[in-house]
Amino acid sequence: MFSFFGEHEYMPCEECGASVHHAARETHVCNEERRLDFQRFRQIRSEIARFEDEFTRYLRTPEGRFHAWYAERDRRRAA
Amino acid sequence: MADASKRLVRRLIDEAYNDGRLDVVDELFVPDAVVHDPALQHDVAGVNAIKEMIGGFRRAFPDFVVLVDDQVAEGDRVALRWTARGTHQGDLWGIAATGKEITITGTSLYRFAIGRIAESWTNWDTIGLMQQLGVVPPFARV
Ligand SMILES: [Zn+2]
Repeated sequence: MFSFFGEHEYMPCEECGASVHHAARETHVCNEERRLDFQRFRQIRSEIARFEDEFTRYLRTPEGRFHAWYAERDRRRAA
Repeated sequence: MADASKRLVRRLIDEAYNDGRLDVVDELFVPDAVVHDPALQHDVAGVNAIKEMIGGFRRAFPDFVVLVDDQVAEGDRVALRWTARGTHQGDLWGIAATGKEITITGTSLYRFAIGRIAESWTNWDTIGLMQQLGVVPPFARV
């Protein structure tokens, strides 16, 4: 009987990022080294995303807009 | 001839895709070879563009490995059923690295001319890749 579960047969483990077949999902055990690497990677990515958000917000403030203008003038003078 | 063609396709997989030795593309393809892949929007024409395509995948998935599940040859054609796995560590079509390991399958057909690959057609599980990367959500049950 054909059934459609709507999710791929392989999905990355939420904890360690390893590609796990649906039949092995219950028995999958994370490799500790891989799990730490993946968690560290995710943390760095979220820190970069937060920094980019804050930086973009700063560039919209009056102070940020002047800063960007001075930086662009300095770049033009250097060129 | 069919066996020689099969060997060339195996070299493409082992040396170019799996080892990242892109210079073998010059040896395996005719200079104006064309790769058809609906996931790539445009045909990939010429050995330099083919190298760039394979290199792009390997930058996104540096540990990318393709395993050949089935290989059949007849006349000037070689057909391949494959499974690939890799960890998303670099930008892929604007999707920033997720660190997730993905497994995808596909089929490719290669046409040979004067002992080299002249054309190929590939269809692979792009939507499965996007699901595994978390770019598209699992579909609702219908
Ligand atoms: Zn895991």
